[in-house]
Amino acid sequence: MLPTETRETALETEEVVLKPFEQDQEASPKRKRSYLKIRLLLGLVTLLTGLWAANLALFHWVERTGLHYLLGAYARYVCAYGGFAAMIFGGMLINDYLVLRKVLKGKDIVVTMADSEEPLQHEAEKVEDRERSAGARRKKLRKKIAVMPLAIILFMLCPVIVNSIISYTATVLITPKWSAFVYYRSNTGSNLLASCKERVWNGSVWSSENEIPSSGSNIRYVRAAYCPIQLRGYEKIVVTLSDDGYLDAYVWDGLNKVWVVTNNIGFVGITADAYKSFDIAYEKTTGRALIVYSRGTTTDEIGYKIWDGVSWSSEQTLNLEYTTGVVYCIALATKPTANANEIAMIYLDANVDVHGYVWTGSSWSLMGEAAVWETTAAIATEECIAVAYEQTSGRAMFVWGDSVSTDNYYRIWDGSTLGATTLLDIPAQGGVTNWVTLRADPVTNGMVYLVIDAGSDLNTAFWNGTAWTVHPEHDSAVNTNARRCADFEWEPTGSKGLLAWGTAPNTLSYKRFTASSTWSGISTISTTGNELWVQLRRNLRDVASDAKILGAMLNNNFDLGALKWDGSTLTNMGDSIFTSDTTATTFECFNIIFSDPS
Amino acid sequence: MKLSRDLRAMLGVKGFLCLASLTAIALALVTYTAPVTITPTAQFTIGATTASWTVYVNDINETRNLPGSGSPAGSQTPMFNDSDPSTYAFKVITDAAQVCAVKIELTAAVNSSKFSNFEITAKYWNGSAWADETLYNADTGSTAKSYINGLTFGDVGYIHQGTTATRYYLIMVTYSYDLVDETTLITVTFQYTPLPRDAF
Repeated sequence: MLPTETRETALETEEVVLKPFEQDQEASPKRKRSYLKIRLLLGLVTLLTGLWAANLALFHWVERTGLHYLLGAYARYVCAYGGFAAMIFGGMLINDYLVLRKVLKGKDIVVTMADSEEPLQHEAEKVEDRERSAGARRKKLRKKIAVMPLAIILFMLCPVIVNSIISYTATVLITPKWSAFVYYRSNTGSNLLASCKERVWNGSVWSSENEIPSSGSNIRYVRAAYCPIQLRGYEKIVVTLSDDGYLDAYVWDGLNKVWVVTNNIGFVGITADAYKSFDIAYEKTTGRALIVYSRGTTTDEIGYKIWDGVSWSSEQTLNLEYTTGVVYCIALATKPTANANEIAMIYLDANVDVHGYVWTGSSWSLMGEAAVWETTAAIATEECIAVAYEQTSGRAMFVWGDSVSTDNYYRIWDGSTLGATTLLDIPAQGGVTNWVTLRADPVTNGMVYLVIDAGSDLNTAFWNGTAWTVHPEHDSAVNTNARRCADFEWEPTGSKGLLAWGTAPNTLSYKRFTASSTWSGISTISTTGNELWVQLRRNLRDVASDAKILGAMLNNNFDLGALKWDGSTLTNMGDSIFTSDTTATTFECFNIIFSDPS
Repeated sequence: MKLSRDLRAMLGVKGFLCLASLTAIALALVTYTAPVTITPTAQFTIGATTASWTVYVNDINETRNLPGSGSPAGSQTPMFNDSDPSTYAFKVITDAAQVCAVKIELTAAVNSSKFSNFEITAKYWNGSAWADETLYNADTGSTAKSYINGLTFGDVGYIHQGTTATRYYLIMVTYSYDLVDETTLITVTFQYTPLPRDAF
C-alpha cells in the first residue's frame, strides 16, 4: 500500500498532468502508457535535434557549408531559435514521461485497491514487490540519465572536431657540443698521475679540471678522438698508455654522462711503452673506432680492437707481413671523403723498418705491396713517421725519415694503387729526421710536412697535391731534438696556417704560413722555461667567436700551458693553465682534440 | 476528428510545440541543391621532416637551417633539388582562386635557460638561391614581423603566398647557446599549418 503522503501527491499531480489523458475517456491505461512512450521518443528526438541545430547555428556551420538556404541569412537565426525551442519542449516532454509514468502506476494501484477484496496485508506485499521492481527500473533510468550528459557533450563537441585543421611537423635533434677538449697527465686529483685529466674549451676559456677514472698506473701517453657521426655526436674516446705497459680506454657516453671504462684494453709490453706505440681513429661513415697498438711481440706484432658504439670487440691481431721487430710507433689517419671507412696506418719498429697498411673497413690491406717499404728509417725511438689524407681527393700520403740526413720518403695510396717510394729531399736538414708532423689542408689537397732533425733544425715542405715545395729553414737550434718541440696547423678555412716552436728559454716562436710558400717573419711570445713539447690543433669550424687554432706546450718545469691563435695573434693563455705538475717531460702526455662538427 | 483527438491525447500541447520547433529547424535548413564535383587540392607539401643540428657551447648568433647541410651540421643551406623533398622544408602551390598562408610555430618553446635567443625565420628558393621570406603576424593583413621567437610558447608567424605560384621554403634559426655548460641533446619540433584564404 502507498504511504498516505505519496498517494496525496500522486493524486494532485494526476489532476494537473493527466488532464489531457482524462479528456480521452476511452483510453485504457495501456494506451496511456503507449502515449507516454511516444512522448518520450518525440521528446528525445526533439531535444537532440535541438542541440544539433543550436550547435550548427552557434558555430556558424550553417554558413561554412557554402550551401544556399531557403531563408538566406535568416537561416542561422531560425535554426538557432528553433533549436533552443526544441531543446526546451523536448525536455518538457521527457519530463512528462518521467512524472506521468509514476502517476499512472500509482493510479493503477489505487484502482486495484478499490476493486479488490483480498486482505490488505496481501496487497501490501504486492505493492512492495512492485516498488522493488520500480526501484530497479529507476536505477536503470538513472544510469541512462547519467550517460546522457556525456552524449550531449560529445554531440556539442562535434562542430569543434569538424573544425580541426591538419598541420605538419618537422623535428630537429640539436646536439650541443663543447668546442674542444684537452687530456693530460697531472699529479692532481684523487688518483694523481694514474688518472687522465680533462678540461673543456667553451669557445673562450678552458674549464676547471675533470678527473677521468683511474688507469691503475701512471700515465705516459694520451691520445683522443671524437666521433664523426651525428648520431653519436656526444661520443669521444680517450686512450692512455701507462707505466705498466697497459692501455686503458675511456669512452664518453654523453647520453648518460659517464665514462665507459675499459682498463687494460691492450698490452704493449714494457719496451714499447716508452713510445707512442698505439693510436685511435674513427671510421668516417660507420662511426666505428679502431684502437691499434703494438703487442710488444715479434709475431702478431699488432693488436686491434673495434668500438662499435656499444662495446669493444675482442682483440684481433695483425701478423706483419714483411717486418719482425717490436712495433715502437703507430700513426693512423681517417679517410675524409664521403662514404669512406678507410683508415691508413704507418708504423715504425725496433729494426727501423717502416711499413704501412690500410684498414678497408673490414680488414687490413697491404695495398698490393710485396715488400717492406723501408728498412733503414732515420731512428726507431722517435716519431719519424706520419700519415695524412688529401682532404678533397682522399689519397693517403705516407711519409717517413730515412737514415740519410736530408732524406725523407713518401708514398701515395689512391685507393687502388700504391705509388712508388719517392724521395723528398730537404737539403737544409742538419741531421737525420727525428720528429715529423704531416698536416692536411682542410679545403685543398695541400699538406705541410714538418721535420725536427737530429741537428735540432726545423724545416718544412709544402705538398700541393702534385709536388713538394721545400721552404727555407726556420730554425737551426730548436730547444730539443728528443721531443717534438714544434708543430704546424692549418686554420679552419685552409690555405693559411701557423707554425710554433720552442727555440730559446722563456719564449715561443711562431710564423704564419700562406700556401704554398709564403711565411711571415718570426714572432715570439713570452713563456716560462724551455718548451719541449708543442702541440697545435685546428678548430674544425670557422666562427668568429671561437679560436682558429688551440695549442698546448709542455716546458722543462713540467708546466702544461695553453695557446690560442685567432688568425692574427698567438696568445699564451697561461704557462701552467692546465697543470704545473706533469712530473715528467719524457712523453707526449697530452692531447687536444676538437669536437667533430658533423 | 478521432485522429485529431488521438493526436492531442498522444502529444499534448508540448508535443505540438516540439513538432513546431522541429519544423522551424527543418525550414531553416532547407537548401537549394545542385550537383557539384569537388576536386580537393593540396596546396601544401611537407619536405624534410627530420634534421640534426650541432650547436656549440657559447655559440652566439649562429644560424642553422631546416633542412641543413654542411659542417657543423645544419649550418649551411641545402643544395636545392625540387625532386628531393629533403632539400626544402615545405612546398606551397597556389592556383588562381586561393592564396595560402602557412602558420609556422614550435610545438613547445625552446628552453630559455639554455638558449638566450632562438629566432625563427623563413627563406624561399628564388630560382637560384635561398632568399629571405617575409613573415607576417597573422594569416591575413600586412603586418610583418622580423622573426618568430622560439623562446616564447605560442609565438607564431605566417608566410603569405599569393595566387598562382609554386614556392619552396626552408626554415632558418638564429640562436645563441651561451647560458649553460650543458651538452644534453635537445629536440625541437616545428609545426606548419596551411591556411587557404580568398585573399590576404
